[in-house]
Amino acid sequence: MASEIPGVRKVAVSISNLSKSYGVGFLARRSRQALHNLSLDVHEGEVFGYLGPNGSGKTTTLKILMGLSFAESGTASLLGLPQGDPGWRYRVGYLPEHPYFYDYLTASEYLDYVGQLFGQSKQRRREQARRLLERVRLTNVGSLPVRRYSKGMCQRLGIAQALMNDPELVFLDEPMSGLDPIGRRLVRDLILELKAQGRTVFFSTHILSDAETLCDRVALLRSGRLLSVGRLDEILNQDVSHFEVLLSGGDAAALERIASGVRERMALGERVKLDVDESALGQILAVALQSGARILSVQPVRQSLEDYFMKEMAATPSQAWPLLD
Amino acid sequence: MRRLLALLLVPITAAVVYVQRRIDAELAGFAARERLLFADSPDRLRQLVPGFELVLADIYWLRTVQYYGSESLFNAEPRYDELRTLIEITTTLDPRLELAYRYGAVFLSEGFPIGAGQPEAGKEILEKGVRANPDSWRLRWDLGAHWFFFMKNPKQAADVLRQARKHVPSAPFWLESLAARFLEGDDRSSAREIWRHQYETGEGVIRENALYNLQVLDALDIRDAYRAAIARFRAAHGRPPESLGELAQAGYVRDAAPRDPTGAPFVYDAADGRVKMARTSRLWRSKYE
Amino acid sequence: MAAPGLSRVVAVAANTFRESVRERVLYNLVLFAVVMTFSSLVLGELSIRQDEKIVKDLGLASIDVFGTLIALFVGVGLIRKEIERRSLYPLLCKPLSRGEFLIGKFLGLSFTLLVNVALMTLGVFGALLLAGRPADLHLLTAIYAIYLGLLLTVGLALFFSTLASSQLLATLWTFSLVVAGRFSDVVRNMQQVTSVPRWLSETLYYLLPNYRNFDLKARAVYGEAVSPDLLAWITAYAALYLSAVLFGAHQAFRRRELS
Repeated sequence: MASEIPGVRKVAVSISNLSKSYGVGFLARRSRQALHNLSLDVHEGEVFGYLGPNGSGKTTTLKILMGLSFAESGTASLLGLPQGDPGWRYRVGYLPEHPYFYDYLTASEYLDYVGQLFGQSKQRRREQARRLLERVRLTNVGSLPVRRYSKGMCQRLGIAQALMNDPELVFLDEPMSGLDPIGRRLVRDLILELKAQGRTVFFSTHILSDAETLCDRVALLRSGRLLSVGRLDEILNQDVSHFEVLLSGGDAAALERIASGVRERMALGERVKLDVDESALGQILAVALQSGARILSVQPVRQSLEDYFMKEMAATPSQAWPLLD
Repeated sequence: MRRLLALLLVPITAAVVYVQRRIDAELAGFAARERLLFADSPDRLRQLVPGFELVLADIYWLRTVQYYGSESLFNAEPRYDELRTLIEITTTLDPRLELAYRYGAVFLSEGFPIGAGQPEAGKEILEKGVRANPDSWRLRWDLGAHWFFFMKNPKQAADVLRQARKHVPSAPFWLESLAARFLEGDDRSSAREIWRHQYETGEGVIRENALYNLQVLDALDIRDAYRAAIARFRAAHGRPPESLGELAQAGYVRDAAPRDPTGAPFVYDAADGRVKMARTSRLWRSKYE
Repeated sequence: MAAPGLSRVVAVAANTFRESVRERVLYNLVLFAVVMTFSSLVLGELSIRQDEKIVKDLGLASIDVFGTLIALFVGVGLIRKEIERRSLYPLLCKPLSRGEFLIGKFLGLSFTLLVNVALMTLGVFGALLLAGRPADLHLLTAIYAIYLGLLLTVGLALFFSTLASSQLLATLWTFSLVVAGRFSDVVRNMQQVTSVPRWLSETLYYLLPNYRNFDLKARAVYGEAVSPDLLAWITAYAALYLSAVLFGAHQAFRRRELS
């Protein structure tokens, strides 16, 4: 088996030549290709980021994997089992985009219901629900009907229900959506915790900074096609592109005079931020010090995911249909 | 400003009331019949409400009773125009509602102004009832009694009662004996039997009607007894008595001042020598003269 | 875990029942109680010797009407609401098949109706006792038959709920079938009064859900015994028709894209 060969990792999710189109317009006469021959693998134990703008097919992929939607061609397998096999569902968790739960139930009741669907014993359900509500900080409102929950609270409940069965593989569709900074921190920590436990996390998002901090590998999707897949350090240019220098005080006139090597200059109150080429860094620092400025910070800037993303978007032309969410 | 607007409410209300009254007047004639019947054909109505015929029948029966009651009690000149149709609708919706046939026939057949004075219609209603409920001896009994008393046809009455015993083995025995009585032409005593039975088993209108008729029969018996006594007096003395007092004194009768069961005294007309019921009596009818 | 599929179905059914309780579907019972009390106390006075009959007739009619309204409107919403609000999504990703979900919903609403009908039956008996009449057990046969009809209505509502593209359409379709099914004799006799060919009216007659089968009200109210054979036949009819409808619903639901 592939996994027994040293160096080859086991595959948690395998997608092969997946295609799907929708009919749009009246009587679905026009068709729109949502996914084009999509193929990718997700390795066990990694945090995989599924990126792309709205309407690129991220949610469609997840829905096909989960069985909410059906592909026209291609295959997929989860944890070694074909998509159609119900066996993997005991070991997989899913947080849908914009989750909606029965608003006449309380969070505890909902989790209990989910537990019943997994065939868990009453004891286990109660224990698991308590633990998860604590983990997502909903313990205090656990007995309030979900009707009264804010969007952020619903989102957290969604994560809790996705983890009810202690899944090996977790799919999160836009997990940070609707969360305040505290909530986002919580989810971030949770994902890292899952990874530490050896679980596989597949999350789709259009917020690139989240992916940058959390993911081992990412895939970039656009208009239903895979633009690139790979480890962040493989995709991104690790070379330093420029330096960001923050100064305060000093002779403004002298600084103004430095023209070459400065890409950008921004005044922030009494501070000045300069984007400087690596080659000109030394010279500029010297001039700054000479003019009596205080150097607050010098930061190397590498290509960010966002930069890479924007570059890729510009490179591949889009088709002329409106983006649907 | 607000006070002005508030004041406007008064004339507006008055205007609304006035307009409503005009509308009511316009619709009154048109809506009256419609309100009563809802549909022109009983069969079509029945077809429109599958599964709910019984409830609608109950409602229509309610309306029938209310209609009859309000016409006979509150109208100086009652018109029973819609009575038959209401009964027809009720019995078409629920053919098994026996009391609609029975009471309906009474409402229709009783002499005007107590009832509609349409004994023929009453008979048809009862016949419909018997057709729809061939196993009901009570309806046949009602029909027989109806032939006898309202239609004045003892032979038909007897026929119906004999048929009853044939079709409905569980019918009581006395239906047959009654049939025989009708055929003997023994008018009053069999009539009395009918009324007595109705008095004992009926309720409300039927019971009161039976009592009334029993009283009439008693009054007629008294009258006939006195007439026989007067005839004997005449045969003996060659002339009618001067008064009932003379009759009593002569020993032909005991009571010189007989009263009918309602307490009204009988009158003696010395001119033609006949005893009659007092015209003021509740029991009086011109046919008893 | 013995028969895990069954326990999942039961879980869905129990939750559906819980939903109907919390969403106040049972409040119609209050209205029913008012109607029954009114009828038993007042209407009886307005007529002659009718109080018992009116209570029974009105009681049976109310059970039929209220039950049908619940079966129809809640039934149509069972699947549609889940699809429209997407509350279905997280659930279908669990080891819960679409078929299990459908059956669970059906059983849940059936149980809700059972509770409703049982309480309304007690209401009828209560009103009878209030009018000083005995509680007539013959009514139970008519009520049983009505309940079978209600189950059929739920099945139809579920079917259109999965098939139609909007809740309104599903409601209209189900309502039309339920009404047409009550006029089954008219359908059958159509060829006598219109130019519709006999084979067509016969086919329609057998195809439409025949609600007249479930109307034993007249017999119950007049105290006629209903043969166990007849009850067995109408139960069989309901079971067969229902399984066909639920099968259709499952087929429609299985391959449905959830957007």
